[in-house]
Amino acid sequence: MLLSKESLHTVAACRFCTMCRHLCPLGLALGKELNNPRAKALLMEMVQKRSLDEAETAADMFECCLCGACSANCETGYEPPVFIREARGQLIGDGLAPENVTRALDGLLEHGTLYGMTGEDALAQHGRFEKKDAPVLLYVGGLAAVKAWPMVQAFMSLLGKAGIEFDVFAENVSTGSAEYDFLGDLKDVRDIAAACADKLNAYEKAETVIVLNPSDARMMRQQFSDWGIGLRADVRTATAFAAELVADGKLVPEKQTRTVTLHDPARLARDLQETEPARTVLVAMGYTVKEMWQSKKLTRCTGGEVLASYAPEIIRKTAAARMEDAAGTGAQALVCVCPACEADLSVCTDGIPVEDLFVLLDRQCA
Amino acid sequence: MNDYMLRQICFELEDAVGRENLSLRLSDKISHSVDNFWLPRMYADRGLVPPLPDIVVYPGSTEEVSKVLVIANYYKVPVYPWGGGAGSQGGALPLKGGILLDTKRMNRVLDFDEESMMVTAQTGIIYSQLEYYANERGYSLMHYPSSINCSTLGGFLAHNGIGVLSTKYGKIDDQCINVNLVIPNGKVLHSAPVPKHSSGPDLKHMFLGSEGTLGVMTEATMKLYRKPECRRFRAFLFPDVASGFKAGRDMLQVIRPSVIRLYDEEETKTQIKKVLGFAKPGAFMNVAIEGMTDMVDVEEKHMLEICRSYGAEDLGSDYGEKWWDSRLTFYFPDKALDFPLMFGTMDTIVRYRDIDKVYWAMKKATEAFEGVRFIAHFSHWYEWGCTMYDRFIMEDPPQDPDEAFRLHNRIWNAGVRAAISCGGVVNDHHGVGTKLGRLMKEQYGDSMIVFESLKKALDPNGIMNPYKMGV
Repeated sequence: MLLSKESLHTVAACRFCTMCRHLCPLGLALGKELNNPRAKALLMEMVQKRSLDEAETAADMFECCLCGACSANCETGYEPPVFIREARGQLIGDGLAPENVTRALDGLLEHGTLYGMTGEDALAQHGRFEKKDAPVLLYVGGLAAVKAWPMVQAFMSLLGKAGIEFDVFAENVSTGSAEYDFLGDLKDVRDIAAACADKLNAYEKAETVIVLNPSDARMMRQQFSDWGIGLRADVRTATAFAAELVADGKLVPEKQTRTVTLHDPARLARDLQETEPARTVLVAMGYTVKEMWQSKKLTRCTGGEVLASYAPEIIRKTAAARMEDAAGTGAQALVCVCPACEADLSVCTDGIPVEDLFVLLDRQCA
Repeated sequence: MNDYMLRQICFELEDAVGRENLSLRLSDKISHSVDNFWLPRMYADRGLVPPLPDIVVYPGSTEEVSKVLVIANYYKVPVYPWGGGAGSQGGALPLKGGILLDTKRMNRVLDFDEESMMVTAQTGIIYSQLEYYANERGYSLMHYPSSINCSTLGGFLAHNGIGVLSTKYGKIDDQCINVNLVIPNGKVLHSAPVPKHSSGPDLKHMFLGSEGTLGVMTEATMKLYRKPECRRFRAFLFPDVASGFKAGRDMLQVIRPSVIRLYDEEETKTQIKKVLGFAKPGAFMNVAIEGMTDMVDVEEKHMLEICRSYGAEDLGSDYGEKWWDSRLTFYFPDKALDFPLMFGTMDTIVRYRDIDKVYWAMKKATEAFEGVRFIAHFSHWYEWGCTMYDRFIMEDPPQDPDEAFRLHNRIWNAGVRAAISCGGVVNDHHGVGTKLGRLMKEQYGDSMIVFESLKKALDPNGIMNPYKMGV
């Protein structure tokens, strides 16, 4: 396995280090030694030294949600997801990935979503969206179109109530976010990202793209620019945009007395460093927010869309663990702002109700 | 283990813990073959594969552990309890094949008794997760070792660990109220519900520090503390390390600091440069006092008087606060000791009368090896003595694994023998493991019969964590 210099440097640093063990959502929920970055780095080290065949590591490299909890805690700045993502691409390229992974990836590459249909078809199930050449463009994404339509509906309703003229990105093609988690930095993935950017740029009047899924927002804001892929419009997350509408008085929610806890999506809190907008909206709605210990930058990921596509049995455990954190706060509900987190948490049978921020806000705005 | 037996034992273990909680994956075995001990790390570094278990199991409860041990005992297969794999003594390494029992699925808090200020948890919980749980409810366990994020409750109990605030809050054995122990016949033993009594010797002290050689601890009750109203630091530069010892000893007669860290002249050079920006000879000490503010005011006054009486220069509070905030940084990659160095922490503990003697004896013994540097600081203080946290570091050890293995063990033998000969012990708070097992008899002599008899009585087939602790 030929790893990049950066990956090799990370492997050498992490191979004997267990300082992030307490934050790995898979490690905590499954209790397996292999789920921690140290074990994965040790395996990669042994592969590099030819004391282990790379095929033996295939399943392990995909038992990770790439949420970056390990990196967030690393006081010397190492990022295990760098080598894990790179190893995945190589394992897939060498035909060594587990069958469940290959099956999910094949579906993704065929449809652009993990749900057996294109993003465009998924969106079309909910209606036709005529292009209005509006200044705001809403990027729904395949996941929200398939799994979290009430969230999309509520957000569109809020835009309407705030008097925002918007288009829905009807092509709804992939940003390449899921493909990047499967394959890493490959030309094919960059091509997918570039194709998405081209289609978004075709909305010439759009000044702002609002993105519902934080993974897609991260892709557009960070990965696109790292790869030199230009977007004409400014990319905003749905939470930040909604918070701005509330702050500007364009949305005035009726206040209700409730105690809730908020689950920060890893991509939003860590990669995009957005933790306050959702909280300001909840406070504006009259809610008291009781924090889970692992919140904000140290949030505990529920697993995410990619891992869910090939390892639902792991998601059941990571989501249940997060639900336990939430229920432990004594809050009345667990509020989510991400379609992937909502989908993961929907498998929980115990605990407190999972509610969507935009659905709640829409309900409380006249 | 032959293929037929492997299948047979796996079938029974699957029945005990569920199929998904048993693994034969090579990667799973490898991930349990290297802990924080230098030798298995050296193996991996040199492209060798350390000893592997045959089977890895992840029981989720005391009952499941009991079933696993009964099966292992019947087939006379070794069992190695594994927590966070952060031990530095090779205490969890599967040296003889067999069953690796990873405890991390047992990660639940079972009882939170605010009235008695106690929390009961399964021993596979990562310690910082247990600390978070207490913090959320306004309390702390006050056990802050550098491995708090990596190690499990059981790991600390099994090796009798210690945290940086131990001078006030005690070692893990002072903080543990009670504990259970599952032994190879499947029975679950319990220490007394409370730690102070006259109902015979406290069983807890026979289980703690036994390093998995008697059985598996699966549940423990720990003390809770209210968080201190304030924690205040102060740094000093003493004319020499001997006056620092005297000041520390005297402080413990009148006040109870949470932290006292005294550095030898060698380590002082580095520490003092951080504080003053230039080197100055002497012995550096960092002290913390905590509790209610008015009490801390009084303690601080006595601390200053005592330190002044031994000629210490007051260096203020900045250093201590920075040290507290970054106390874990030194254990992350690029900051922690790592390859290509050969290194080891030879912590020992000794009474005040002998500490100078032990220090010089260990320094001389280890530095007799060409290229070895010996540094030390003194932490974890008691009324009668303190811990010497000393390290040997070799910049350019042999690349050949056989040579490196032998040299590593020779340095350890020399250092620990020097400690024992001057009134020290094999180890203070990292445990014995496979690293130092051979030296236990040199410390205890005929008294080893107590450990050996206990082992024989509780584990007659010798399946529990073989080749550890010298039993």
